[in-house]
Formats: sequence, C-alpha cells, structure tokens
Amino acid sequence: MQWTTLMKKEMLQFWRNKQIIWVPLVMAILAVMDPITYYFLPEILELSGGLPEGAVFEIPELTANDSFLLGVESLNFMGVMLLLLISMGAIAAERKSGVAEMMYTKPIHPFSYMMSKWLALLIVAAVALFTALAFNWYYTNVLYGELAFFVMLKTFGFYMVWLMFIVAVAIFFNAFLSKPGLVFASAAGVIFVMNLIDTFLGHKLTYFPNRLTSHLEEMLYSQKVPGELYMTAGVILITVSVLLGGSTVIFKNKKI
Amino acid sequence: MEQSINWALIAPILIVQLILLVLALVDWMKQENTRGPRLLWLFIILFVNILGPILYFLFGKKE
Repeated sequence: MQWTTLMKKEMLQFWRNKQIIWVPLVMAILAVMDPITYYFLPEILELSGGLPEGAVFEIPELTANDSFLLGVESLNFMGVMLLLLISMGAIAAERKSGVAEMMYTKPIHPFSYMMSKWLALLIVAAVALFTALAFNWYYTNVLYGELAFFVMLKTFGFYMVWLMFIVAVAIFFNAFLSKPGLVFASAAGVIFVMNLIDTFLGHKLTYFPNRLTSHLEEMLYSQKVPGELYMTAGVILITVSVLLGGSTVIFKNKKI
Repeated sequence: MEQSINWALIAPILIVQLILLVLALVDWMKQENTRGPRLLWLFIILFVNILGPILYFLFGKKE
C-alpha cells in the first residue's frame, strides 16, 4: 500500500536523524525541570545568598497534582516549540531539496502524502509526550507523593489531541510555504495569537482549543473527566480535519 | 554540608544526559560536513552540559 510505504520512509528518516530518540529525551528534561527546581527552591535560595535577616518567605507546599501540572504546563511552550522545530521542514525542506517534485511525478495521492507526514510526526510526538509524562510522573512520585499511573495515561490521551493540532498547523503551513523557517514563524505566530486570545477571552470561550490545559487541570483535581474536556477535544479534532483537508487542497493546486 | 546522593533523583537525568551525549557523538563522527567548523561542534557536544548535544542536533547538521 502507498500509505505504509510512505510512512515507512518517514519513520526511517526519523530513525536516521535520531529524532525519534533525542526529541523524547529533551521533552522529558523539559517536563521535569520545573517540579525539581521547585522542590529544591529553599536550597537554591540559600545558595544564592539567602534572604535578608528576618525575612519570612513561605513557599507553598505542592501536592502531587500541582507538581504534575507544573510539568505539563512547561510543555505548553517549550515542548510545542520543539515540535514545531522538527515539523517545520516536513514538506518545505523536501521542496527545497527536490524530493517534493519527485513526489509530484509519482502517482501518489496528495492526501496520502499529507497524512503520512502528519502521522509520522504524530508518532514522534506521541513517543516524546509519553516519555515526558512518564518522567514527570516518576519525579512527582519521588518528590511529592503518590499520583495514580492511570491519571498520567488520561493526561497523555487528552494532551495528545492538543499535539495533533500543533502538528496539523505545521503541516498546513508546510503545504504552501517553501522555507522551513517561514513555516516555523507562521505556525508559532498562530499558536502565540491563540494563546493571547485564550488569556483575554478564554473564560468566555469554553471550548477554545487552548482551554484544553485548563480543563485537564480540572480533571486532575476533581478526579473525573469534565464534559468540557471532551467537547474541547472534539472541537480540536474537527479543526484538525479541516486543516488537513485544507492543506491537501492547497498542496494539490500548488503543483510547483 | 551533609553529602548523601539521592540516586532515585539523579540517576534518570544522568542516564538521559549520557544517551544524548553518545548519540550526538556517534552522529558527529558520521557527519562529514557540519554547519560551521566541525571541531567546534565536538567541543560543544562534549562540554556544554545537556544543551550541547541538543544544539548539535538542532543546528549542527546540514540538510
């Protein structure tokens, strides 16, 4: 099948440039940095000269949930940027090197081409997210106390939906821009604007994609999955299909 | 200061760091052309903690 061949080629590439290994490791480091730093904050303050005489500085105690969330939230920015960095060249770089033209001459449906790109990146993202959350879960357990493994799995499932969206945005810009740097800038710009909207209007737009993390927070504290989370995930999935469909159409009509 | 190393805390990070270092070194050895001086990248990989190998993977290689 066309599909599987294309997927195999993508995965081989991720293996050759070792992205399938180093991206997850970097994600893991990103995810555990905050919980660890927070845990050692008193010592760090002490080492950097301490507080003035008589000053009282109460560091609130973190629960296991808080710590886990801290890790998840640090993926929101750095993790997303990393993901964009590895997906910015997915098609744009192939256009530059001439591989994309070769693709045009072969009887490959643009949609399978797009999907293979998106799915391959998604596999890398999934491995990375799982590693990061597993590390985060481990450190949370060591430093702050018990957190159920199942909670980690649920978080993985829902956060993956958000990453699907990120990769779809990157693929969308890949469909018509021919410079990887430009793809990165545009995709990062879109995510940034969405973050702004979320900050200012988030309380009114319950199902806005960026709300996913806040709903996840709710899930962690209330121990059950809120309906808003499902709805937001649904909205994201619809957006993703629109983005992928749109990129296929644009890519088809661009035919260099 | 009391010196007792908490291995449960440090071991995972050390392992991650080691894997990144080895991975970057192997890749560097295979790479004939890097973006910028090849030897400089060796020093970055070896002496810049954690960040060195990552920087190499992100920016060190030519397409």
